[in-house]
Amino acid sequence: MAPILTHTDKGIYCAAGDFWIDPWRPVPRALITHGHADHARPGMGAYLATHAALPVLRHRLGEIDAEGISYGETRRIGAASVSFHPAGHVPGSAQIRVEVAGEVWVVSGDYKVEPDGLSEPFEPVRCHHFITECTFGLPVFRWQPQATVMAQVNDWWRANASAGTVSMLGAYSLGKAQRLIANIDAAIGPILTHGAVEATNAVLRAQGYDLPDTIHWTSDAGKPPRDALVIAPPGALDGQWARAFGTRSTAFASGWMGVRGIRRRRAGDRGFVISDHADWPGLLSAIRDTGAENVYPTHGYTDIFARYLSSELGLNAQVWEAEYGGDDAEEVDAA
Amino acid sequence: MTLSRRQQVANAWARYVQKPTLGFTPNQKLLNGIFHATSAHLRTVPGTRQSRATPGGIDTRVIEGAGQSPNLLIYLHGGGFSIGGPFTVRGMASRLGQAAGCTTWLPRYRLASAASYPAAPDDCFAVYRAALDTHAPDRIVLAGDSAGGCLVLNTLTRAADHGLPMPAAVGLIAPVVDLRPDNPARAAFPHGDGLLPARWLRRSIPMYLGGHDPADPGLSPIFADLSKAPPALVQVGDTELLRDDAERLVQHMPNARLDVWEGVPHVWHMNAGLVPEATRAVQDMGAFLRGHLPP
Repeated sequence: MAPILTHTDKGIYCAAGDFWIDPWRPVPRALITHGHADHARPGMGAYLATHAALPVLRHRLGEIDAEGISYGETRRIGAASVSFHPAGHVPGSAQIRVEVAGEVWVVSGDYKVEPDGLSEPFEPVRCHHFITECTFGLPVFRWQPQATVMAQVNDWWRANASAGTVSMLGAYSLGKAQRLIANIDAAIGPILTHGAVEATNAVLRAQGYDLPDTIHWTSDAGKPPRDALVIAPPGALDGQWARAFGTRSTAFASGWMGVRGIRRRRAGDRGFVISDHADWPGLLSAIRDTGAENVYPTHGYTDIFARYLSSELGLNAQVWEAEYGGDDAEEVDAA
Repeated sequence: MTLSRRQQVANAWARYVQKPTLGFTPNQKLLNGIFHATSAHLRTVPGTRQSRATPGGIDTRVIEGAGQSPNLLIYLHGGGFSIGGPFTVRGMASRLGQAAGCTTWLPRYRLASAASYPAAPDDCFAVYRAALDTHAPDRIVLAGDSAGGCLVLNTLTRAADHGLPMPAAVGLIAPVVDLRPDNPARAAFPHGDGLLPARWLRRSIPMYLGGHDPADPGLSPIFADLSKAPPALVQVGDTELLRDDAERLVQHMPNARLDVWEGVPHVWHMNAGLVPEATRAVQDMGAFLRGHLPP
């Protein structure tokens, strides 16, 4: 019998239900784990995603034929039984469970196991086969608790505010930016946002996600308050929009800030190590909780990670080739 | 769409034979006769015995497997409150009972042609009360399709109102949960339903209401307090008229899980034993119910 999910040149394919998961080329039917650009691409005939992910999907992809599904709801597509479960990556993100004749596969999408106070918390799903991301699948990647990193951000912001320097923080516009906004100490000063961040804020607020007030800052808005924290996509940090703020301290928030070379190349004043992906212990605990004997690392340090899973944990691990992230510079910042 | 060949044939039969029959047969008694005649081939699962009983004074068909089970499934048939009976659902209900490991009761509640509301929920509640005399509540499960799903939920509401214990679990197949004629949700799939014509609902439901307010929580479960309801599995087709009823129900009912099947008509379970999709759906529902019953 052929495997329930197979690797095709368009993405992960399920023959029993005739659909693809996070495909990277146009297909008639796509099941989407979350709204990041390397997972939700344009041109699919029909989309199925969580109700929570749909507004962002529509915001990014425009007029699409898309249907929503609740977490935990099952959908019978042909001979496959499909359900979506929280992945804790960004608001609305999901792992996708596919069951055919009693055999269960789970596609993790991107995930992190630490609750971030905004995204629906990660839930392990028991399965026989687990296709897992491993963006940070090396033992060197171990995140500090979110509260610790947020305290670091608050201290940096507070010090800048008292010195009369604007704090400018680069963060991916879907997920990371909102996670920061939701968890920093909004009493320190006003939070100003770049248009890309604010547009996502508006979509999420309309869905009922609880975010503190932010001010959409445009270059013609005059002199910004000096105690402000500005949140913008990393690409906007050295452009004209950013220069209008005058003297400023610049920082990035990303899991990649844990890698010294990348931190230096970014040339910011600070790098906060905070990621929406699981770190090494998180990946291993997530894999263990699935109970899966067959694990397919994809998207990240796949070779090393697969070797570790086989030799150290005795799992049947094979690399699952995929085209996530490769052509999307912003994805690094999504980490 | 990856439906089995048999389901494709069943879909064609539903859309081109059953749907027009429901929509254009003006006389409900005649329609009920046609429904019974065309259910003749939907036999009970081999190896089961049938008998009659009158729990709570209600004529009931009893289906038992080879070994006597201490667990009980009360299955309430669908048919828009105006057609159908134990005979029309015996095939699927016997398979559901078998999958759930239960003896199955199929009560013949009064139809709208004989008596309007509250006759049907009265009869169903009487059967449930009688079941509680002979079975522990954690050994009873209720299930129903369409109007029968509505009656299952009505029974839960009445049991709660009377301070009676809840059954262990309920299974609902495309239940009717909002009897208001102007229920806007039904407009979502006006022609998508492969079996149910909206015009038939517009005709049969008022007959059942008999002038009662459909927003009464005793009638429309969506207005009832279902906070004490036991775990529920709700199965529905993706383009049927009652899809939205199902979606609203699981939002309203804690502990209810929605299971949406693509490309199948209203209560596709009827062909259990003949069509793979129907058999699978019944087996899944049975496994769900069995999972909430003691062995």
